[in-house]
Amino acid sequence: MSVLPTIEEEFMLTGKAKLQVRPIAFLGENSGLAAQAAECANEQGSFWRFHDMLYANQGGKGSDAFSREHLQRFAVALNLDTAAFASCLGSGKYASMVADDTNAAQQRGVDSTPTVFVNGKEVGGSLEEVRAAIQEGLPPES
Amino acid sequence: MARGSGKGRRHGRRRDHGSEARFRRYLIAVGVAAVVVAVVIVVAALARGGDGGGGGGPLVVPSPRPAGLAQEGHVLGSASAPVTIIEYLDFQ
Repeated sequence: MSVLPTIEEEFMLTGKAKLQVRPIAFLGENSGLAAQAAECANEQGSFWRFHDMLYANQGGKGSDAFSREHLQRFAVALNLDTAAFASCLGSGKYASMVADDTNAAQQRGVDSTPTVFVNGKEVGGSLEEVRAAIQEGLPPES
Repeated sequence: MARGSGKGRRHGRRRDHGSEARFRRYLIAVGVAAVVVAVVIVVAALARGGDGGGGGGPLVVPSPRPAGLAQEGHVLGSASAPVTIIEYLDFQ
């Protein structure tokens, strides 16, 4: 979410909102591999660092920026346990989870990313729309 | 003597022409090689640029998030926050 830094500063650091991300794979094999790699990083308590690393080094649809080799480079750069990371990614243990999450998202009507819900209601991805939805969801005294 | 000298000059010109032709061929070969090397460099640079920072070039390592921001699994922010944002994302 490109508006995340602003939302983070205005609402998350102040305890008013929390963000839960659900990685899904619409854009091909490496898209799914990147989502699985994020789960492997999560095993080491580094989901968000890996999330940020993926966004900072995106290559676009069809690129090999998220090949196994490059995902392993990200793990090295983040000082993760690279042997555990490689074993996790190589096992494919999160492949079915990512596939299930993708199917569940599609059943919910998600057909593109990013798709954002605020307190269960789908909103557009602009800063103004997300900000307005958060403010609407806050209790009156906030 | 004069005739002999003339022959010698003619032979010298033939050698000069031969050297010039070889030099021209050498220059052409060097030029072709330079063009091939330049094309290879440009193609490699374009290929690297096309797959982003993860494509073998230097990685972009983002700054850590503020220490005061809770991070638990897939959730960023306080678990007791009144508003919940859910984002479906595709990293690619």
